[in-house]
Amino acid sequence: MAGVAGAAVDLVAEEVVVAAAGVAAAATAVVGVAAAVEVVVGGARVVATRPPAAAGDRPSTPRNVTWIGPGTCCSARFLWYRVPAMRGPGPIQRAVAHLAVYAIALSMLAPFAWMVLTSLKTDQEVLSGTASALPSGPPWRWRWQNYTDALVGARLGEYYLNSLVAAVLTTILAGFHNALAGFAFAKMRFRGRRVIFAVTIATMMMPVQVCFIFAYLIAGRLGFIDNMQALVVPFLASGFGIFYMRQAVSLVPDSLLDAGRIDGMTDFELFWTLVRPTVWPAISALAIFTFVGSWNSFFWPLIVIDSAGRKTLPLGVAELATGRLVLSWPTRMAAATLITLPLIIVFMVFQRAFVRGIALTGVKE
Amino acid sequence: MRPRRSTLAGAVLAVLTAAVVLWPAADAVTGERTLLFTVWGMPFEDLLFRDRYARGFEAAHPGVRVNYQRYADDIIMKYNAWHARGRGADVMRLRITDYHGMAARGMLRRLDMADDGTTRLTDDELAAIPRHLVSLLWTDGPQGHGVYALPQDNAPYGLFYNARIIREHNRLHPDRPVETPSGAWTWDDLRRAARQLTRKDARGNVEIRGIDFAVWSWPFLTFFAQAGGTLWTPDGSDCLIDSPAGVEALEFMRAMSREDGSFIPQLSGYLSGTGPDVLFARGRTALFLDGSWRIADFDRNAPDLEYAVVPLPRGPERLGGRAAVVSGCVLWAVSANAAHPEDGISMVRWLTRAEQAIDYWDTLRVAPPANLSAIGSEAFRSTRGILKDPSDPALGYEVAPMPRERFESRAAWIIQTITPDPLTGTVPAFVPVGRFQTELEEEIVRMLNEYLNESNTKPAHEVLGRAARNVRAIMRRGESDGRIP
Repeated sequence: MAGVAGAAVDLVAEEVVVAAAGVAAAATAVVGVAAAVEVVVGGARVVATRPPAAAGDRPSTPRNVTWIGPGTCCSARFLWYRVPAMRGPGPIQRAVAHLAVYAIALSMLAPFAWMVLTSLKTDQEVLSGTASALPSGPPWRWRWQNYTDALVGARLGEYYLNSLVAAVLTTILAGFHNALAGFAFAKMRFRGRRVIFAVTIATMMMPVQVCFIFAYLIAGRLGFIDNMQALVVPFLASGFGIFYMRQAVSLVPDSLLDAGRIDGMTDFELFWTLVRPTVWPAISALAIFTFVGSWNSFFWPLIVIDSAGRKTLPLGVAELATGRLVLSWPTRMAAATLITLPLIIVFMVFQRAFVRGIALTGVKE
Repeated sequence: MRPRRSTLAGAVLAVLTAAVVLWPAADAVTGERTLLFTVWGMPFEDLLFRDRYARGFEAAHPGVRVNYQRYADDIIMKYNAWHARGRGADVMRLRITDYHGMAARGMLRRLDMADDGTTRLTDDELAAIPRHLVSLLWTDGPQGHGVYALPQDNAPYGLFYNARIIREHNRLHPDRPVETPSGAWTWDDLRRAARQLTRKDARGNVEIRGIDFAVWSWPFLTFFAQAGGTLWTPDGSDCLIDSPAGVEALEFMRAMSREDGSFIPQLSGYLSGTGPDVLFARGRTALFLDGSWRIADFDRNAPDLEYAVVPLPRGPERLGGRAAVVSGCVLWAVSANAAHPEDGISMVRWLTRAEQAIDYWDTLRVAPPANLSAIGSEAFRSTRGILKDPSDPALGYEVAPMPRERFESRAAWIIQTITPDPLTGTVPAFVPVGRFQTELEEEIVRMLNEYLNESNTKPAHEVLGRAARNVRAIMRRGESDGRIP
């Protein structure tokens, strides 16, 4: 809580009654911001405290915490630092700031608007020197046929399905495997852990183009050529994903896991019951990265997919841009709109978790 | 005892992972005589490659099936990957810039001679290939010095002009008219016309560009050749762009830009559909240098554009007035790893016959076929194009047709580019190739971006010298990996 640093602060108490497991999670969540957490279980009082942060200090883990098993009701009392109220900007400043923000946002939307509007024009309109931003005529006379041309004529509808299946499968399975591996590297002690992790990190340093022939040869030996496995299996775990999840899981206090172990949980139960909900924002952020990566992937599918019926969307869009002969910008823009749409939807759905995930992994315990 | 939720979730995900990894792969299309036929192109090009070529070969050769596969532009990466796994297409389409390297690396099968030493290609087949392409086909490979691919087309650069702009200029300035461009023009004619046709408004902003072209390697290579330059030493061991011809070419381009103000270079390389071609299509450019592939594009997207194409101008008279036209070429080849090489070779020869060459021109009209009898035939003088939807002609054309009456303005110039020049006796068209051609052309683009930049003060010989040094450095590095024998 950077705003606290160096400011005159006092403490405010907030008392809540939660289930014990909730206390554990809540305490974990407030470690970074609360001055203290006081848990009362069956009349016994346990207090975790942290001194006010000085400028530049990082939050520390509360000490003197006794964790309690699930099913026990208790009350928790959080003592918060009260931050002196700051004077907000005046109405004019706010209006100017809002205008600036909207202007920047609009400038970023402009290419998307151009893409969508061009996708509804005729070829002649696009090249006409007198063309306006909008397609000519009322909306029902715009050339919606371009979308049919892209989906049916260029088989993008078929490729859409292939891309969707590959991206969803990769996202679910990679999220699971990366989180599991991150948990192992962050919280389990085993021989060679550092070396294996270093090797995992090293894979991030190599661009895919460097090793694609070797990857292709291995995929060929395993039979992962020209099928769905070719698009999914090589990405079931990644150096970046494991590193990212290891950073997220390392923020989970060991004491939380110790409490789980006392409760008799297995390692997988610790991961599933305690770690997974805690690092969910990071998993969501990684899911977005993975989905976008799989959805936009061009180079690997180009190499491993041979048959037309198994191609993915980026390959189909690339075909629309192939050659220097006849180009249909409206059809290409329709294809670009179709390929962009799912990414926008995924980002909007996971937006909040994505931002939290980024923020979470940027903070160390 | 009920299993815990975490155990169930873990089991489901483990089973899903196992299913994805272990799911049996469906067999690809195979058969005793199924040929793998690979091309790059856009979806509508299936109408030629799949419907006419693949199905046509099957019809002509009972018992043979053709597994047609179309990819995007980056098909060379696929060829490389396949070769690494010991597989390859029975018939493959490739660019001439990739050809010599692929042959040298043992990726292609020799076509002109069988393993037992018997000759395969007939004299008639070789005689049908335009003269400037024949010498390029002979290259070194594991099966010796021979022909490892046959050409499909020959795409030349030309001079496009907007007839309406010239007519309007001549109406407004009868005292200094601009002649209709022709293959007899020299650099001086081109520069003068571009200067005259440039139109500015009252504030000095350019309304009509006198001349325009994409700033990439081909225009430079054209002017360089017209000034008498040769790119490589005969053995290919050195690059010669820093010769006086290079200086002439660069200074000619900059003179049109800086002294005349008729050329405003867009320093962004070759842009398709967003570069100078759009300004020409919109009637904002009088003279435009580009390839034969633009013509069908303009005919479809700018039907009201009144334009024609003529051969590129000759070099300056003081340098001999040499005619030179840079061209590209696409080839048919058989992979060294082809499953059915003899059938593949048979199909390549079938594809390069006049009938198939005419089909190519009739449908796509990208570039003239590399078959002299096809170019000389009446069928070359008009094309039918491709309808967007054959069941509904009202939807218009994917590739515009070329009626007979448009032959003179659209395609007659192509014949001149492959006909020996009466002045020199040599064919103007040339295809720039070399072991390090790609690297050289990348250096040329960098050099042009620097030299034609408004703020540049460096002389031509200096930027040329650096480009040549860079190419030589790349060549020296290439020696170590065996790219120079």
